[in-house]
Order: sequence, then structure tokens, then C-alpha cells
Amino acid sequence: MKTFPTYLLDRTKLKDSHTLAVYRANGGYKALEQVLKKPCTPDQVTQVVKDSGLRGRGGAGFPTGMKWGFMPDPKKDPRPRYLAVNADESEPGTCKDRVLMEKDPHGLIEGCLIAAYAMRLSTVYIYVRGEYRVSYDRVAAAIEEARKANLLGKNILGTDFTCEMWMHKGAGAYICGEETGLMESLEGKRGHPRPKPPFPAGSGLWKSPTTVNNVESLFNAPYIVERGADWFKALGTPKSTGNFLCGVSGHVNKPGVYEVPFGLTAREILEEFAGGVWKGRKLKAWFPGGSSCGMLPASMIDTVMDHEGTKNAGSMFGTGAMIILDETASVAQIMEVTLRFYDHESCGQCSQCREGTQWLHQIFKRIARGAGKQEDIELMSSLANGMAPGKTICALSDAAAIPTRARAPSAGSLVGTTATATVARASRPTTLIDQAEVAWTFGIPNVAWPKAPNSPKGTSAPPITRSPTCSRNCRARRYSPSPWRTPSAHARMPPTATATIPSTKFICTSRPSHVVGSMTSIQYHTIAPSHPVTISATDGSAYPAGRSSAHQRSTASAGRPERLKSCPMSAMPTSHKPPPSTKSPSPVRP
Amino acid sequence: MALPQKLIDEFNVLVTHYPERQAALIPALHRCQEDLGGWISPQIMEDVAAYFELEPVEVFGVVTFYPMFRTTPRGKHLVSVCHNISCTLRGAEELLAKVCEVTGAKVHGTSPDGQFTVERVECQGACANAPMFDLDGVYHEDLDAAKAEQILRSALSSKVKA
Repeated sequence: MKTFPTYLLDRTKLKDSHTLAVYRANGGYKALEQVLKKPCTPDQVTQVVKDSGLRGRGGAGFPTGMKWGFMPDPKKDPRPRYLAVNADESEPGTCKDRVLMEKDPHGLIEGCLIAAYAMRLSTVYIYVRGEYRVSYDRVAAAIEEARKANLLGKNILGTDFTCEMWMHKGAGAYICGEETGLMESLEGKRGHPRPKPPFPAGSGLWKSPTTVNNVESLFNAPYIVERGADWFKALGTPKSTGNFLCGVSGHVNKPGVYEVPFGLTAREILEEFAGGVWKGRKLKAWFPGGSSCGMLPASMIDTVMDHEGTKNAGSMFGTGAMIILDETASVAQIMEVTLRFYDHESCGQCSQCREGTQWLHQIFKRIARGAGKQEDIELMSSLANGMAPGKTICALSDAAAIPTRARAPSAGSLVGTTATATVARASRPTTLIDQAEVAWTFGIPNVAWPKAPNSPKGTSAPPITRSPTCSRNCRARRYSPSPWRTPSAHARMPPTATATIPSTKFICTSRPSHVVGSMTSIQYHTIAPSHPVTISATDGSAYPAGRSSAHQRSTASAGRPERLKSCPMSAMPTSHKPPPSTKSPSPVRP
Repeated sequence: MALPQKLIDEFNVLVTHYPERQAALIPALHRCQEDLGGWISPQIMEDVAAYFELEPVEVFGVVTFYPMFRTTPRGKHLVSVCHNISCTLRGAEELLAKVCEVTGAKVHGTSPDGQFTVERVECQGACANAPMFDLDGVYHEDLDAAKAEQILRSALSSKVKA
């Protein structure tokens, strides 16, 4: 096994590593003291991080120092500025930030403080996903400890640097890991990603300059500041520097989160750290970086694990979370699970994503139960072309389409593997699934698919049916009205919608993304006249003549509540021009 | 029905963390769900909306967007079984079947005795310890059928309020 220096997980192995005492006894907050007392200018700190080549660990791999540099000069732009920490870790396969937050929360706080100093800001929000209760409690307790020790709040360590930090709990939506979705959620709204530009550095939280960083990215900052950019660059590869946390899960002997430098091959990580494929079985396929990165066949296990290596292999590095499938796994079943996930998590703003994820899910569901049709490949391809790349507001649609577009250059070996594979569930028609797998994974267009044995008379597979009741192909076929309809408005509604109602707001509780309830939202859908669903206006008496008076009250600036009038944001120019350098990439991990 | 004063006091602190009041909405809804019966009723939505100076339907929109907020009552214990990729690979479906068998509840349903509500959820970030479920906010990881049964039975026998 190659030896290499470690730093990310060193403290997590200590007893009570989440306490301030242990953190300080092991070199904690040294970097912060170094920055504040030496003193370094904020630009010097940013420069060190830029020089180190640190790339964001949240999925897109965007250079962190460059992102910090996008924040406008506070002398020219007096708006408040924010750092939002993306701890909404929900990419399937990824469980690294949780380890850091649970075992070493002060490391995150120190990283946030250094970032706040470098970007000259004084408010940090840590957006933790709602399910991570232990992480939330640990970081919240660490913030309290730090506050008492004068490491947070006013005049930190006796200097004039002031910084406040607040925890914010998410509520289970994957899309809130996308940076603009996260900002919407932090503002107390549905997590609908925003179109870019404007980029967060120009107009983010409450229309102010904002930077969104991943937990692990920030966690690296104190080490870089303390030990220097050259030390950091010596780790990893020239373009992907440092160590990263690699979560290995699935069919392996020792699943876990391992600290490794960029540049090891996936085989080294799988065999030397994770103990190889479990039960002595062979490898069939693997995800290099969570579900959003295309699956690779066993033949490509020697891919170098860094941003460049995975890209050359036809996939992406993502969050560096490897998911391993052994020879008994059904790729079709895993694709069904993956697409079910995107179907569930699509926020519903962009039609191609909202509909496309549902269609892909249904197609994979059909393939997985052995009823795939030959046309499915063409259909998937056409759906995927409509969904990606870059055709929607955020990258969730791309992520959902990527697996279906996966084209591995060396298809041959997986064909061999699949042909000899024994599918886990004996009841499933093996040959059909295997052929389907080969076909969609490698884009072999002319596989002659056998007739589905479970279809009527063996002639054709069951069609994908559109719901008889919902024009939007809603699976649960269950619309329910908003509780806030007035009897008079309801009485005016015919039992089925007719063309006399030009556009109708409605609520669908079967699928959160279909809920279109906000009066402030301009997004609503019209329902076809023949739609046999009971529709209720979400707005009472004023419906459908226009917006309600209450709505006007809440949106018109003149009518804003007194408290909001005093908010600095309301005094902000509405047409702020973002700095020309804000070319931040679209995040890979929504 | 108004919100309890204790929650109002907490909200009053929460809103000071943000420049705009609405930002505290999601943390506030979490607190309501925790303290007021494990789900968010239309009445609670109206009360919260009044507190945040929003339309009730805006709160409804937020509540229904986020999977963690429940709009229907649940049993005393909530079991959330992860069924994403890593958990499926290591036997989530079998685990879910076992959970349903032990609790007597259907998936996304509540057991007849009102003790357990079982749901399947997407990735919980415990992929390296798959399969897992979340029982009343506590992760139980590296499960197998026997372990799961034991955990559920001890939850049933414990007198502590979930």
C-alpha cells in the first residue's frame, strides 16, 4: 500500500474529538490565530487558497479560492455579505461531511471563520440536512463552545474581526444541495433553484453577495493556511490537489469513509482500503462519485480517481463516493432505484426534468421487471437529449440523464461479465435483463430483445400508461384541494374544469413538486379542459379576477410591514450588476 | 388555537438570526412538528402563517415541498427505511419487508395499534453503514433482520415517549 500523509480524519479518531478541548490540544484554531494575529490581509488568505489549487468537494470541483475571489469589494458594494455552508449532503453514496461534522465540528467552524475573514463577511449560515440530527447537535454545541471561548461573535481573539454563525436545518429535499436551491430554502421558501446569472457572488441570499461552500472544502482551509500552499500541492495530482474523503459503499467487505490523496486508482481504493468486493465475488460495475456520475464497468476499475481521470473515463468525479456493484447485482434494478430517486427529488420547475425523470423511472421500472422493449433505447435517448446538457435551470436534469447516456469505451468486457452473471432474483428473466443492461449501458442500438414473458400473449410489453386522471402523468392520481378554499369559490367551480376557467391554480398532494400553491409564485399550470379532477382555487374571493388583495399587500413595497422596511435589503438597488468574473460553473451535484 | 407560548418564544429568537423573518420558517415548522404531534395540521399552518405574516397557502407550499414535513398524522414511532442505491445493494428491500412484518404496518402506512408508521425514504447519508433505518430521529445502521427486529421490539416496550 502506498503511504501518504493524512490530515482530514486524523482528529476524528481521538476520543471526544468533537469537543473544543480536544480540538485545541491537537492544533485546533492555530490557523485562525495565525491569520488574525500575524496579521494576514484577507486577500493574502484568498491567494494562499487559490495557490493551493483546492477544488470544491461538493461535486463540481470548482476552485475554492477563485470562488472566494468573486465576492465584490465591500468598499464598492456595501450590501451585507453571507457565507452559506452546504451541509445538505444527500447525493446517494456520499456520507463524508457527516463524519466531519459529527467527529470534528470545530474544524468546520475554523474553516468557516477563515473563509469569512478572507471574504470580509461576518455572517455564516450552516445549512445542515434535517436528517443529520447528530451532526446538527454537534455543530450547534461546538458553536456555543466557540462563542464562549471568544472564537465567535464580536472581536474574535481580541482583534477587530467579528463573525456570527447560525445553524439552519433543512427538511429532506435533495435539490437544496444545489447552491441556489439552498439559498431559496434558507430564505424560507420552496427549494426551487434560481436561474443563473445572477451568480450567488453577485446576488445570492436576500439579493446580497453570497458564497456557498461544501463542508469538506472549508475543512481544508485551516490546513492550507497553516501549512502553506506548497504542502497542499504536494498531495494529490497537479490539477486535483490534496486529499479527499472517499466514501466506499455497496458490495464491499469494508464499507466506510477513507482519506486518500487524488491520483490513486479506483482499484487501489477498492482493494487496499475497502477490502475488495464482498463474498469473494467479481466486480460488475461501479459509480465513481455518487449516483449523478455515470456508472463504469469493471474493466475501468483502474481509472485514476481525480477530476481528470474520471472525466476521461466518461464519467465524473462528483463527491468521490464510490458505489460498488458485484456480479450478482442487477444494473437495471439499480438504474430503477437511481431514476426513482431523481423522479422523487425533481423540484418540478422545468418541464423536461419533471416529466423526463418520471418517464425514465417508468422505463427502467419496466426493464427491471423484465418487460423492456426495443424502442425503449430510442425513447430513453430522445428523453435524455431533451433533458441534458444544460437545458434546465439546475443540473439535476443532467444528473438524471447522464446514466442513460453512459457510453463506456470498452463495452466488450462488461458484455462478457453480464453474459455470465447470475441475477440475484431467480424469478426474474435473466437473459432479458442482461440484454437490456448491455443495451442501455453501452448504447448498443440493435439488440434484439425477446418478447416479455409476462405480457399478454407474449406479444408486447405493457405500455407506459399515462394516468387517466392527471394531465401531468402524476403517479398517485390524487389531487386534493388546498385547505384554504372558500365555500363561495368552491361553489363556483364546476365538478370538472372547463374552458371557461382560463387558468387555474391547483394543488396536488401526491407529489410535492406538483404543489403550486404560492400566491407569490408566478408558476402555475393550466389544466386541459377535459381534465376530470376537482380543482379548487387556492385564492378565495378574488379568484380568478386577479391577485388577491392580501397578495398585493405582501408584494407591494409600499405595503411592506414596518419591520421589513427597516431591512437593509429593501434599500438595495434592484438591478445590481454582478462582477464580470463570476463565471462559476453549474454544480454537478444538485 | 394559537401556538404555545414556548414555541412563540423560540421563534422570536430564531427570527433574529436572519435579516428577513420568513427565513426562520423551515426551522420553525420543524419545531412545530416535533412538539405538536409529529405532523403539521392545517391549523398549525395557519398559526405559523399568521406568525410569519404570510398567506397560509404559502406555508402549505413549503410544507408539502419538503419530504420531512408530514401533513398526515403518524403513529407513535416513525420508521424511515432508506431504499437508495447503497442500501438496496445491501438488502434494503428485505429490511423493509421485515420492518413491515414486525410492526404490522404497510409501507407508508400506520400499524393497526397506532404504534408504528413505516415509510421508505431516499438517501439518508449513511451509505457506508447500509442498510439502515431512522427510528424516531435516531439512525440505526448496519442492520440485518434480527437486529432490526430487536430494535423495533425494544422501541415498542420502552416507556419513553417517542
